[in-house]
Amino acid sequence: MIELIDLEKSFDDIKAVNRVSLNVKDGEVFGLVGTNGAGKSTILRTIAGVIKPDLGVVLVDNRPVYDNPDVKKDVFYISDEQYFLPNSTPEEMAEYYEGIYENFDKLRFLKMCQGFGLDAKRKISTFSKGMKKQVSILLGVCSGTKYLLCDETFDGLDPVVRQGVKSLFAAEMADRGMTPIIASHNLRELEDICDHVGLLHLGGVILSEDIADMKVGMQKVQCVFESEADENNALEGLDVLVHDKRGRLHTITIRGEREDIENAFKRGNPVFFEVLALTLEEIFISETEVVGYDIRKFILG
Amino acid sequence: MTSGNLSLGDRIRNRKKYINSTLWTSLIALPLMAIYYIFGLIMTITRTFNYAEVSGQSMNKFYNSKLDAVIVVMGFKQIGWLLAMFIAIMFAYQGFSYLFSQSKLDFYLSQPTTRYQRIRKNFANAIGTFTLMYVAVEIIALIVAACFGAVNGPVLLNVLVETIRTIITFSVVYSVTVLAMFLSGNMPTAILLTGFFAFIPAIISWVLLELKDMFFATYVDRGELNVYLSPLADRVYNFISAREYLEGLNYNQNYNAVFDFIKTNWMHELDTIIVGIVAFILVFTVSKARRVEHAGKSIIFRPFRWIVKISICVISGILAILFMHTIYFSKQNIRTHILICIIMVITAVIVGCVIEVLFDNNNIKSFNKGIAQTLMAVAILFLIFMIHKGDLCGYDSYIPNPDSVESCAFIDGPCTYSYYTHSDNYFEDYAEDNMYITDVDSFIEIAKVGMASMKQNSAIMKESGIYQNTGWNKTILYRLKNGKKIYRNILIPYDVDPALMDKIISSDEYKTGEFECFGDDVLRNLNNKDNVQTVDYSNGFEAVSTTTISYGELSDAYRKDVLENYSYSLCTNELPIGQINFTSSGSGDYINAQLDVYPEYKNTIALLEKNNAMLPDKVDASKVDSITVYNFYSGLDFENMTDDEKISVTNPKQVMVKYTDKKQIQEILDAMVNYSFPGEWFSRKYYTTPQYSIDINSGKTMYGGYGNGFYSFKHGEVPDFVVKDTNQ
Repeated sequence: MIELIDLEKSFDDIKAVNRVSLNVKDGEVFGLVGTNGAGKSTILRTIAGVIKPDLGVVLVDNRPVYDNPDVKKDVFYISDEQYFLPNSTPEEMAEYYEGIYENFDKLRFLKMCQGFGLDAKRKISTFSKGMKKQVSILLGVCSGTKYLLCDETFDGLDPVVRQGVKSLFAAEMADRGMTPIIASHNLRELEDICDHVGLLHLGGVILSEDIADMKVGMQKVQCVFESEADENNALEGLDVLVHDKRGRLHTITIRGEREDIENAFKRGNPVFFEVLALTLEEIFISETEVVGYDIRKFILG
Repeated sequence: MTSGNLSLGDRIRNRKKYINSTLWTSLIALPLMAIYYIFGLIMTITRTFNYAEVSGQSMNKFYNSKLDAVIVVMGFKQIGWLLAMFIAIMFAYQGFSYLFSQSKLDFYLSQPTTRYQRIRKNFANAIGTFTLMYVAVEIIALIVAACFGAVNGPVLLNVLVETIRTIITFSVVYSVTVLAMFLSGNMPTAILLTGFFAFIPAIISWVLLELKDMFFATYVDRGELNVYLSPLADRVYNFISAREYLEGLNYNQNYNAVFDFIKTNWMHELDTIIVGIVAFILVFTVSKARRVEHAGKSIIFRPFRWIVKISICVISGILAILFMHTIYFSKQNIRTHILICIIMVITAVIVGCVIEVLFDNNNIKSFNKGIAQTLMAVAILFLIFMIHKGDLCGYDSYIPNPDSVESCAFIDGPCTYSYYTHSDNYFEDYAEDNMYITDVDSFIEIAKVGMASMKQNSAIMKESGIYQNTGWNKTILYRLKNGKKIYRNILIPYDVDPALMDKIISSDEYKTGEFECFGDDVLRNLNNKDNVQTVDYSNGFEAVSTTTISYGELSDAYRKDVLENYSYSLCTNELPIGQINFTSSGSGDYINAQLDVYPEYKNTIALLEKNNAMLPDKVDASKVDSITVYNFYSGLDFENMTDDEKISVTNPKQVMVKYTDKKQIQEILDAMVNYSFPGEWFSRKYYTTPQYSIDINSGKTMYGGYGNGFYSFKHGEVPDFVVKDTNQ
């Protein structure tokens, strides 16, 4: 498990990370979402042991990570701007990493390169941005580390490759319990891959929850009432997060278990009533609006 | 198969690939080293073959030349250390350039190593790679040299020691460059900082010496920059030292020469090593404080940034002082000093602004930042200026405590001996090496008078711009008991107490330290029978030559005469009547000695007479065709004018009169003084009438019709007809 406890980091006068506390459980895909400058990369680089926090601590499996090679053996960091040794090929990078990570599997890497259509003997400098990202991801996966930190890694990947990478992550998680932590400025990119999402804004955590929990604890209902009295009757005692009304059609986002909400609506005797599936985006909009943020402005654009 | 199961061979192969990709600069370094050491050696040795053939060298000389060629390319005399320094800088920038790039920092620092491990690994890679390349190239070059028969034990030892020195130089320069990089946030700043570390000690040392030279009247320019904390200066110093010191030794066939050289130059070796150790420790200390986010900044630590800025501002200000001094060299007064101060301040402020702009990544808007540091630099400059201008450290009035002085010397004797075996004169520093005056009290009395006179004369000269000839300029040396040597320039006034002067000048300590004949064992032992030894004697008008006098005979006679007769009184009351010019040449040696002969030098005169090599001290009028008298100040009576009146004379009229009348010629010869061989304590001002000069014209002397001597009239003895003829 990775624990971030009261993490603070400033660059000159700018507070990049402001008292951030997060927990990343083993075996889950953790998504870090936020705008540019929200502190995602700083947090990932701190977890990778590149940056020393000003305050607070990062514990990886209860061990501090900064300048600690034993811990770093378990962490592979894919930076937003990947660096490769000068004039190197994927194969040469694999050979380099063989000397760095004990569990690096070069043969597997070469096979995966083949699978992703990457020429392992071609100079990486001639690769496209997306191909370079693929090489980085494959190197990270084949390093055999427990934690894989991906900074904007899915940005620039075509849908097919994205799907392939997701499958790869899923397989790694199933096989050896790999824990990916993925930072992105785009919530939609993480929707179908993350188990847990931390939402960052201006260096602080607005929200950090399991997506499943959020989905279970929040319902979206579309309904039509006969009268206002019915409506009041139905909504009495419910934790309404968002209430949108177009004509007679109500769209209401409510915090609570599905069964409780269905029972409540039955009290109001609606003309039409349906519980809909919430997208991650809607969950976030609802949750953050409650605490005073309009994330449509800074996440969904 | 994971990397945990890799074989040793695979690991080595991977490591080699890593070094190739991270130290690709070695691909540049290796050919350069091969060109310098292997091809350079072949060319140098083959050159000795050609030279031996052309000059008909003996086998022994040829062998020596070949050995020397190896030492010139690979030994103490090599200049390959410059290449080593270049490679060190190249490797450092290659190995640590990641410090300036976010993506590289992410790449390297996220790997399972500590910062220290990474630094250690880079150091090991760089030093290991260089050592491997250097040793490989050296071995090949030595094999080549051996094939040419140019290797022996001492040469091997020389090359071995030099190999260690070069590896140390590489490591030290590498450490210093890495330190510069760790203190910088971007590449241009790192390059500037590397230059700062490389040159700043020498620049500081140089500007301080120049300031002394500019402000202190008694400063002696010994041409020695005492530069410390600079591996570059250490290497330059040792390189020059090797070229000079090893010339005089049969070093390439002598193991001891190698150890002697190290003994002589250990201070600079130690300085280099200390710089290396300090830089190495600082690299680790600074790396601890350095953060990833420092990448992209200029100099990352504020206190160090201040030090750099203040240093550069102060040095620039001093350079401005020196520049202004050059412009106002001939004349300085309070106005010029104020102007110098203004220029000094303006320079420091402008440089401070430029530095701030550079510090802020060329942001011109930052020119007015760091005012506190600029003010501090200006304050330091004023302090330096005042210390020197007002001589607050008492440089020009320094008189050591007599109890602390072991011995003293006048070190700028006439140096009348030349003995060249290669390029340097064996007797160049004879007085400094051999004069040990222990009558410290008397010496200090003279020095006090001389320093006061020097300061006064210098002040007058700076104010008026006119040099006044009021005494003898001498360089003195105090050898202190603590081992320090203190040099000063003094001006001993012509009217100094003769009794005081004689206490020193008449002492055997002075004579044996002043006259090279007392330290001429090296010449007596030469015993080169093939050499042609010639003794010429000249009285300024005529010369005579003989080859029948050996150097030993001459030296014995001269030593006796000097010890018995030489004194300050003799020098000030009389002039030498002639001069012996001894030469010996052949077999690569060239010896020349010039010995002044006073009338009291009976032993020397007897030896010359015995060998028909003596001439009369008076010019024979019958041999003179005509005499030309020059009056440089026609219409003026210089003898009876005050110094101020003399200085005020501008555009004097010069008159020349030629005399052919035998009676007039004889009269002129009787009133004439021959100062062709003035001796050490001579003052033309006190012996002659500088207003007049005399040329003796004759077709009968060996100098083609003209005597080569210098003549004038004795004080108050200018013949009336000359005064009349030349003042019309």
